[in-house]
Amino acid sequence: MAKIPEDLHPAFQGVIPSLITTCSADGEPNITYLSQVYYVDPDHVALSFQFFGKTIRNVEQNPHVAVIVVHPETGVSYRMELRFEHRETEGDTFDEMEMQLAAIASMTGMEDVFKLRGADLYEVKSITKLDDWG
Amino acid sequence: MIPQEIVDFIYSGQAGAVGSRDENMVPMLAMCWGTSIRDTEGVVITYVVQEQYEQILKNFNNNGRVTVTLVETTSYRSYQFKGQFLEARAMTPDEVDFQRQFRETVVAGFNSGGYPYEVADRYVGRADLAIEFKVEEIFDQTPGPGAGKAVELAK
Repeated sequence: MAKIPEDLHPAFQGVIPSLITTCSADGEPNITYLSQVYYVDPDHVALSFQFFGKTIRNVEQNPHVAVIVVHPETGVSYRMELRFEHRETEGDTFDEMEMQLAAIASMTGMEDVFKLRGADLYEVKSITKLDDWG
Repeated sequence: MIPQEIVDFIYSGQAGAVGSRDENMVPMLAMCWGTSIRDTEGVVITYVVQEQYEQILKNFNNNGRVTVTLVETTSYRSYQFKGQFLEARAMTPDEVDFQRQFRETVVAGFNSGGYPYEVADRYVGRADLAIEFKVEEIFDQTPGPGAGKAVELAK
């Protein structure tokens, strides 16, 4: 298990959109953009569940996912391997993600599209810096 | 064949990501920086930073399943391409030029969108590897209730 370092926290502000890949039970990878990767504690992040699409169906079959987040002050990308733990539909994490998502939707003109259905909590398994500047 | 509107989308300079999975169904992804096609063969070629692809190349050689998603970051319009891995190879001189121009365009776009030049310049990768795969399916991934709808491939 990996710990999220404090200097990575700005990557969770959603300034540069994140990406997620999941995999179906029969082995088909799926990638989509992700509105939010929310810092919960050094061992966990929460991802926004907004649509009943392929990503959610895959996670229900296979808890392993990988995401890329980007540090907005440096431009450096980080790949995080995660494992789904549980979904929250109320409480502090859900409420804070809902407020943050509303702000992101407002900035991107997606108010009618983005709606938080759940805050999906994941354990952080690994973090890899992706930076061709060495 | 890939519909013309998607060919135009590919060449309009969209960044994206490449996904794969290992024998335990654990998925892996990394960014791709520039994409071209050999449309008569339905082959998509995407350009990547090799040192970030060690596990992904192992996965391709083990099971061949490739997923690439390209996105227009200003509108969130995006398409997902799924298919079978063909090869990973060094980029040709023409591809190096193509990727350099792609990179300059994307960095300038981010910069004009408000990101400091230094941040955009570090974010956008300097590709050194071409990954070819045969497209089998394309999906519209633009966010919203219709995301995931299959695109009909032209005959």
